[in-house]
Amino acid sequence: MYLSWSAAAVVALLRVGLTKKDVSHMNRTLLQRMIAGGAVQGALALSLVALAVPAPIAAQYMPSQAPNTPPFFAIENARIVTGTGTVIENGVVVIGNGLIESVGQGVTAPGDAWVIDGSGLTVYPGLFDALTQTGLEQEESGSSGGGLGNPFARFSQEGPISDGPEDRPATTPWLDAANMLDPDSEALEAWRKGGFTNGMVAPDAGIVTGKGSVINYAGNKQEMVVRTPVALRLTMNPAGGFRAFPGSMMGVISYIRQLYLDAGHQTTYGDSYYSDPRGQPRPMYDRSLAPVQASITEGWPTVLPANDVAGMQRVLKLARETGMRPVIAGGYDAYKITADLVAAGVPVLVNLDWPEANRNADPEVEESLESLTRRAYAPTTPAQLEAAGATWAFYSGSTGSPNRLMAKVRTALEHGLSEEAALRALTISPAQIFGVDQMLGSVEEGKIANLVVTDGALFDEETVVKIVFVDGHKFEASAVARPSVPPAVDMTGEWLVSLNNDSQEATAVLEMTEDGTLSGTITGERGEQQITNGWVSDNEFSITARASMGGGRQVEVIYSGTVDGDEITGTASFGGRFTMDFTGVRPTGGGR
Amino acid sequence: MRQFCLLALGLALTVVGKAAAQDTPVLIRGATILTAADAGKIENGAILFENGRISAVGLASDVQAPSNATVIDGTDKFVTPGIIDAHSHIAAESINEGSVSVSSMVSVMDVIDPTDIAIYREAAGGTTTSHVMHGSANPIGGQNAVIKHRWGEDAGGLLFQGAPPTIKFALGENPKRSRSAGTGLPQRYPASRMGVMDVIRQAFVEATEYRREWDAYEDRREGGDQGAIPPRRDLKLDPLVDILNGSLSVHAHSYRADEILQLMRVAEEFGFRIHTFQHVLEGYRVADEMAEHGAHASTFSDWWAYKVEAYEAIPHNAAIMTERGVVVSINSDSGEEGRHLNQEAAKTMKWGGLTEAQALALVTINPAIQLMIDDRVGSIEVGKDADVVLWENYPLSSYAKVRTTYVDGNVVFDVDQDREMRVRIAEEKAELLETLGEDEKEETGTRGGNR
Repeated sequence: MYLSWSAAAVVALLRVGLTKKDVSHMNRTLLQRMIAGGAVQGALALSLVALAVPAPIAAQYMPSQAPNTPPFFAIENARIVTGTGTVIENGVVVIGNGLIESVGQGVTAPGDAWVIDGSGLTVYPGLFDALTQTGLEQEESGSSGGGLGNPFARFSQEGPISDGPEDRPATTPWLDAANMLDPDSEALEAWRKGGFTNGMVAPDAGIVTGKGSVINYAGNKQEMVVRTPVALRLTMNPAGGFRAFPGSMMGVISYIRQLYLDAGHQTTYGDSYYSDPRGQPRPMYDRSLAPVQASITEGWPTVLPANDVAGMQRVLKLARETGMRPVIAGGYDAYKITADLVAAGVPVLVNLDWPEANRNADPEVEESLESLTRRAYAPTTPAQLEAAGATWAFYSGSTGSPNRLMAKVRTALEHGLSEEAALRALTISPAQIFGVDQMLGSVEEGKIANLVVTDGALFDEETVVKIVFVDGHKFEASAVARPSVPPAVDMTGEWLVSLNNDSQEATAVLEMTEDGTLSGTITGERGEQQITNGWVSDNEFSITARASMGGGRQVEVIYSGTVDGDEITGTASFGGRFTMDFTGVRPTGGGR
Repeated sequence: MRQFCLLALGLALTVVGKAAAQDTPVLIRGATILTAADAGKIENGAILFENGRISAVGLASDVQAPSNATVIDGTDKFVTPGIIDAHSHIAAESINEGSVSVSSMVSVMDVIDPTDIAIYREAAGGTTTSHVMHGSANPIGGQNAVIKHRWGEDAGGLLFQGAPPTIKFALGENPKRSRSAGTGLPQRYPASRMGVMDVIRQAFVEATEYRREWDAYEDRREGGDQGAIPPRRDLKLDPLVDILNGSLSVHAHSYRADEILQLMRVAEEFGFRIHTFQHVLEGYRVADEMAEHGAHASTFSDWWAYKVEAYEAIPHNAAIMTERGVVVSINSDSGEEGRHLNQEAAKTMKWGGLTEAQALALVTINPAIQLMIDDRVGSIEVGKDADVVLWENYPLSSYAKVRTTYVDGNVVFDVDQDREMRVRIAEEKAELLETLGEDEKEETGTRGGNR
C-alpha cells in the first residue's frame, strides 16, 4: 500500500512541474514529508482522479492500420472452436480491452458492445506461423543478405574475411527481431487477411542470426511485440568456398561448438574475475557471448534447420554437446525418426512448403528414388508426428500466401493428419514451443483477443475468412467474397484494358476453368502482374494481382467488374489506396 | 488428390537404426581363401562366420557348419578379406575447410552422408572399410572418419566404432595455393613450401603453450585449488595436443621427397611421429628415412603427372617402399577407383614383382595397420569382423568380379540381389510417381531410365 501511494505521489510530483530526475533524487523520507505537509496534495488528488477514470481505448492503442473501434465486441450465435479440443455451438465470445473477456453459451454481451451476428460463422484462435519473416523490415532489393534470398549472401560475397572462430563470423545474436519490425509491411496485411494473427519472427542472415520474437500481425512497432526474446535462431549455412571461415558444413558445426564453449568460459571466468579482479587480466568484452550464454541459462528454444535424417541427428548431437534446447525447423524427413525426436523431447517446426520436383532438372535424367521418396513422404510427416505424440508446429516456409499455405495443410490432411492436430499446429503448439501459450493460441478467457472468424471449417477449400481480430481490433477481409453461382460467361482470352479513360493501358491474358477460377497475367506499364486469385460468377468477376509500384514496393490490385460478351467494365483498387475505373475488350473474341 | 497408401510403399522407408546384427551363420565352402594372414592361401577352404565375426577358417573338410547356417558353394570362387581403402572422400557432405591454414577444429565425422551411393558401389567392388579424409587445402587439415560400408545405416551406424582418430596434414602445391579471396583481398598464408612448414611449426608452438596452460591448471586442481579456472578450450589446439601426446595419428598428403623429409624433421622436433604419408609418389626416394621414422605409406598404383609435383612417380613405388620395410597400402582417393582396388594392388605384382600375398596386403591388412584397426579387420582370422568378399575369378586379376560382399556378416552387395533390387526400385519409383500423380509423364516418354 505504501509503495503504491508513493508511486502515485511521484506521478503527482511530476505533474506539479518537478522533473523525473528531481523525483528520483529525493529520498523516501523527504517524499513522505512532502506528502504529509500537503505540498502535493492537490496535485495528488488530481492524479488519483485521472487514475480512477479509464482512459479511452484509443488513447492507449492506436495501431496504424486499425479502424476506430469500440472497446467491446460480442460475437453471438457463432460456432466457437476454442483450440483446446472443445467446440461451442451457438456460443458468444466477448472481447474487451484487447482481451478475450468471456467465452461460452449464454454469455451476456455488455450493453456497449458492438454485437456481431455470428450465425453461420466459426470463431477460431488466430493462426500462428511458427517461423517467418513476415512483419520484419526487408532490406532494399539489390543489397545483400536478409530477406528471402540467400541468407548468407552478405557473409559469403562481401563480408570481412574471417580467419577462424575468434572472428565470430556471421554471428549477430544481439539482434532482436522486435527491433526490426515494419508495421507497414504489406505481407502483414496479406497474411492477416488469411487469418494469421501471430508469427515467430527471427533474423535469417548468418550462422547465429539473432533473437526471435512473437509478434502480432497488427499495431505499431511497440504494440506488435507480444514477447521477446523467445528464441535464438541458428542456420547451418557455410559461407562456401575457401574465402572465409567457416567455408564448409563441418566448419559451421565446429564453429558453433567453439562459440558455445567460449560463452560458457566467459561466464565462468567473468564471475571469477569480477569477484576478485586484482591481479587478473579482465575478460575481453564480446557482444556475441552474452546472448548465447543467456540462451543456455534461460533455456531459450534454439531454432536450427534440418530436413534430412543426418541433419536432424546432427542437431540432436550438437544440442547434447552445447546444452542448447533445440527446435528443428524443416523436418521433411522427420517421419523417419519420430521416436528419436520424441525421446529427445525436441520440437519440430514443419515447413509447409512441401518439396517439389526440380523444374530445371534435365528431363532425360530420371529422378532419384531418394528425391521421389522425399516428395511423396514429406507430407506424411505431420500425421506421423501426431501419431508419435511429438511436439510440433507448422511454419509457412516459402508458401508465400495464406491460400497456398492452406492448400499445403490440406495435403497433410489427405495424408492422415487430423484437423484438430492441424489446428493445434497453427495455434497453441507454436505458442507453447515459444512460451506464449498463456497469452495466445486458444479462444479462452483472459488471452489476447487474436481470433479468426470464417464462414466454414477452417481447412475447407471453399471457406472464406470474414473477420480477423488482433489485440481486440477488428479487421475485415477486403476482397469480395466469391459467390457460389457458376459463371455465365467464359473470360478465357486476351483482353485489352484501358484504365481511367485511356490514361493507362494493360493487357490481360486469362484462362478460366469450368468452375470459373481465373488464372493468368496482366501486363501494364508497371510490368507483369501475376494473378493470385480470380473468379467469374454469373457475369461478375474479381481478379487479384500483385503489381510493382516502384522502389521495390508491391501492391495488391483488385479488379472487379462485369462481363458483357467481349467487353468488360469495372473498378481497379490499388492496395486500398486509390482506384481507377476501367473498360476492356477482347479483340479476338473468346470462349471455347 | 489421391489418397496415400503407406503400406504399399513400405520399400521407400529407409531403415534407420543401429548396425544390424547378423541373424544367420554363413558358411562358404570349397573356395580358395586368400587370408592375408599367416595362413596364407587355403585351397578348397571353408570360412564360417556368425554374429558378425569369423568363427572358423580352414580346409573345407575341417570346418563344420551349424544346422541353421546358410551354406554357399564356393567351388571355383575366391574369398578375401574385405578391402580397406586408406584414402577416400566418399560419404561426406563436405571435404575441405579451406578458409584457414589450420582447420584441425573440424571433423569429417560431423558430416557423414549415409545416402552417398558410392558407399554401395564401392561395396560392389569389395571395399568394406574406408578412411574418409579431410581434403588437402591446408597444411593442417581436419579430422577424418573411418567408416564401414554398411549401406542403409544412418551416419552414426556407418562409423567404425573403436577406430582410433586420425587427422589430415597436407604439403606442397595444394596448401600453398592461395584461396580465392577476390580482388584486392589478402591471400591466405602460406604461399610457399617454406610457409607450409612454418604454419605447421607455428601451430605446434601454440599447442605446446596451450598444453602447458592446461597442465598448470591440472596441477593447481590436484594441489587442492578448487577455485582454479580452466583455460579457454580451443577446438583447434585440442587435436594438436592429442598429436603431441600420441593419441591422434597424422596422415599427411605429400608428393616430393624433400617435403616428406621436411615434415618428418618438424615432427621429430616436437616429439611426434608422422603416422602415414598419403600419395607419397616420391616415397621410393626416401623409403629408408620413412622406415626409420616409423612412417607408413599409402600410395597410388600408377596415377601421376596430373601436376608438376606428381611428375617424378614410378609404378615400382609401392614395391620399393615395401622392400625397404615401410608398411604400404594402395588407396583410391576416388569413388571410382575405390571400386577396383584389387586390380590396383595387382599391378604391383607386374611392376615391382611383389608376391600375391604382398600385393593383397596392400589393400587389406596393411591399410588396417595404418588405421590401427588390424585387430578387427584386414585379414581372415578367427575372431575378426566378418568383412569378407566372395569373388568370381582370381581377385588379383582384371577378370575378378565380386559375387557377394559381407560386412559384419551381413550382405551389403550381392550380384543376384542387385539385379532383383533394380527391378524393385523401378517398380517403387513407378508407384511413387503414381502416388504423386505424375505417372502420366511416363507415357510421354520424357523420362529416360531402365523401365
